[in-house]
Amino acid sequence: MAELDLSKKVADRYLKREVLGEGTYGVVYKAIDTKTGQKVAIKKIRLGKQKEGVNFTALREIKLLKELKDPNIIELIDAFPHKGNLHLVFEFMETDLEAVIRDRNIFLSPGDIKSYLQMTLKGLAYCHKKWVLHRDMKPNNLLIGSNGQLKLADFGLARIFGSPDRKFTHQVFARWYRAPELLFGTKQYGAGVDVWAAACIFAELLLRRPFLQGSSDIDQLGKIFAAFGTPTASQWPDMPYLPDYVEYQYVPAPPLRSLFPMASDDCLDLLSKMFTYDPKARISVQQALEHRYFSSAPLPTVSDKLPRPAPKRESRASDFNSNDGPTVLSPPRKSKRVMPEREGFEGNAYKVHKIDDHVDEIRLAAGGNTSGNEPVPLSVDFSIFGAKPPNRPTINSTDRTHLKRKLDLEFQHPE
Amino acid sequence: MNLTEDDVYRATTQYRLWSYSPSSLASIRDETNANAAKRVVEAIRRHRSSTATNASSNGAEPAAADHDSTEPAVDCLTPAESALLLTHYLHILLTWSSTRHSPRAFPFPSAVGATAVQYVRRFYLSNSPMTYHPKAIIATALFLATKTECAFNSVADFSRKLRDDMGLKKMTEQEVLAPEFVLTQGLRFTFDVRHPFRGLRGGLIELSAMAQGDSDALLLPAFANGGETTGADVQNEMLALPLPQDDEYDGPSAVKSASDLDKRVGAAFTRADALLQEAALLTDAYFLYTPSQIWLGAMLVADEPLTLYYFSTKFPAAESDEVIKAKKAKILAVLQACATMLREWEWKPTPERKEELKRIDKKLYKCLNPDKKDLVGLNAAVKRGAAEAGASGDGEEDNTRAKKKRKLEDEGDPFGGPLESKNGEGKKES
Repeated sequence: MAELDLSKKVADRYLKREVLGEGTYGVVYKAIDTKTGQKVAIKKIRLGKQKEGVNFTALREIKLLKELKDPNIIELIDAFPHKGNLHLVFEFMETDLEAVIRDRNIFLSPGDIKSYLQMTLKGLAYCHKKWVLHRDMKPNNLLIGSNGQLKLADFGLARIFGSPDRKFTHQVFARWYRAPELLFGTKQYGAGVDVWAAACIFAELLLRRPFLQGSSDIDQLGKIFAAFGTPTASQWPDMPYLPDYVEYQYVPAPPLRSLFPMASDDCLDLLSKMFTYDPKARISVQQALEHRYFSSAPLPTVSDKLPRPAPKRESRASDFNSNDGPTVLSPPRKSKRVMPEREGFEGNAYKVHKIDDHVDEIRLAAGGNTSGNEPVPLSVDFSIFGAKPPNRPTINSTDRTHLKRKLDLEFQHPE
Repeated sequence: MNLTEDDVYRATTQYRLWSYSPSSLASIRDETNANAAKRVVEAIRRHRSSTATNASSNGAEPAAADHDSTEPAVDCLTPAESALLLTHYLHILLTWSSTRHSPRAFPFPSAVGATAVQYVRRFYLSNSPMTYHPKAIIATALFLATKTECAFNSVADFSRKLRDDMGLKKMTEQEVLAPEFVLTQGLRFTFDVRHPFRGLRGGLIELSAMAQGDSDALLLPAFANGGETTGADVQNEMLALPLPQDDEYDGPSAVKSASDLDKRVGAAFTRADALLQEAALLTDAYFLYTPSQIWLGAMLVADEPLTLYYFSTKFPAAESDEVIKAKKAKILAVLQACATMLREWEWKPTPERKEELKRIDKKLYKCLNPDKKDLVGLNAAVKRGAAEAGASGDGEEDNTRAKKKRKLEDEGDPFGGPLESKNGEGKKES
């Protein structure tokens, strides 16, 4: 039948390469789109074992991504069935912002930071304009393409907002990026939660380490208050009425400048507006983009001039303990890659890349050891990389089961 | 970012993939029906010949030609019969989906049932009831909508409720899940449905403020340049409006005070909302009109003078401006067409209709594609990887459809052009 042929053709359109990793609801492959020659990432969603049919997180992600087309949002290129599995085709991304922040060989200039933040906020502004909350903003969900473009990814927790009567779960975001109203258990919140998380990412770009590293929800609030002072009733009138509100001992705010000694005045002004306690008074993404920080010198760096980690070579992971993660598996040439020569770096990166492709072919020809611990952080779902610094909590690890329960609750209509 | 509301709507899959002109809609359905009929005839013939082969042990394989002469011809559904049958099942789906329709229904927010209905309608643009019986699809569509509209129920609870409260004594979890994949394919993996409900609520809030004299008249384009008009003036103009001339108007019989006006607005809202919960879902409104056209169309049915006044406040008052005048007339024509569609909608269980449905159902029994009867079995086979997922759309191939869609766009915008022109007259959102 004609449709079956069509379906086959679609599946044949993509040449499967190595496995990138195991996602929350399926395997992620690297593949080549034979029609365009482009690299893509394919997320395979297993359907066979799903007790509840097509996974609702996947459905939610597909539903939203089909509606979101923006230069700063990951593109869902295609969705097709193959052998009873659903395949989602995403544009292929080289790296992510977490890798940039953690790479000690990279120097981030004020213009670079401005550019990364601006692209983050642009993607977020588009989501909010379409009434979509991302709800899982963190550096490793901000993917970076080969041209330096940053794109929001992983919309598995995202949802439509704006109906005042619908209640949401507050168990969203990795803890370090969770806004104070969420930590106090609010069920009705808006775009401000994404702004707070973006502020945490902003601070992380400036400090080159996660800014507020709480070890529990209580501790997270403690860290927030230590940085900005315990909020007063005049600062945040709704606070005492939040479901999980507990009184914290008053601590005064240290000067923001003492936390970010290198930041400019404009930078600190925007940061403090994004870190405003009262979500109603917090700056919106659109207002943040119009802030003078983005129009004052130095201007945001052009995206293809932004520093990025050099593409890593394929590792023969077998000799290494994969739990040590990508940082240990640095290729020998890494030591030679001393930055700031941007032009040189780009050229170099290109060459390394070519070699990678070549290695790939050889590996495939030899039967290919595609062992799932490739250090290339390239996918749309970074939960696939089990190897992480031990203490970085994500929803994928510590809160996953808890979250799933919460999400189910949220999905249950109250009546 | 300067996206207007029009830009936002034009970027949706509802606009890009699921909006048609009346003629293109009809031709797609005719084509789907013809393709499905052809396949049904082939499949039935194949099944008959294989049964005959099995029956005649070791006998020579009968030629197909013999069957053509001996077997009765397959009587296929017409597009009109398919449409009637579909509406019948969509009506059932609606009564399941909300306590507004039936006290024993699922207590879902209205968007869930409305989305499920649109899923089924979209699915049957490229599939025929002869291929997939609607009774096998509607429960699955509702279940899928609970997931995409954030009202998730476990499939166990969901199918139990169908068995206990909806009279589907034999409904199993497998039957709910089996067509899900086929359905998602038929929907081309687009799950977002834009409804007119929220727009109507917004209109209600705005009209209430105007009725109370609370509106800041300067925010309404009609008064923006006058400078003198106040909220109280708007209220007075509303008090002077004539009452609707139709029998079903159930607002106050004389409107003398702000509270009368408030009641009138409330009555219009209630009636418009009822239209959105049924007529808008069971007609082609979603394929032909935008959500704002649909709710304004429903308001026109509910209270025409009030809605026309509200509509007029959205345009600069300069009536002499030919461009504005033309634009207003163009939009109003679309709204009136939508209103007519909603007004004329009627679904009463008359004995004739029941008979007709019974006849179609019997007919379908004989022309249901035998390849697709066992959806549970097919689904299990697909999951085992034995066969490619069988979402054999009866529609045209995608590129033909794309061509048709392009052609439709060339012919002119089915929605009557943007509400706001590019050069920035009218209210622009930043």
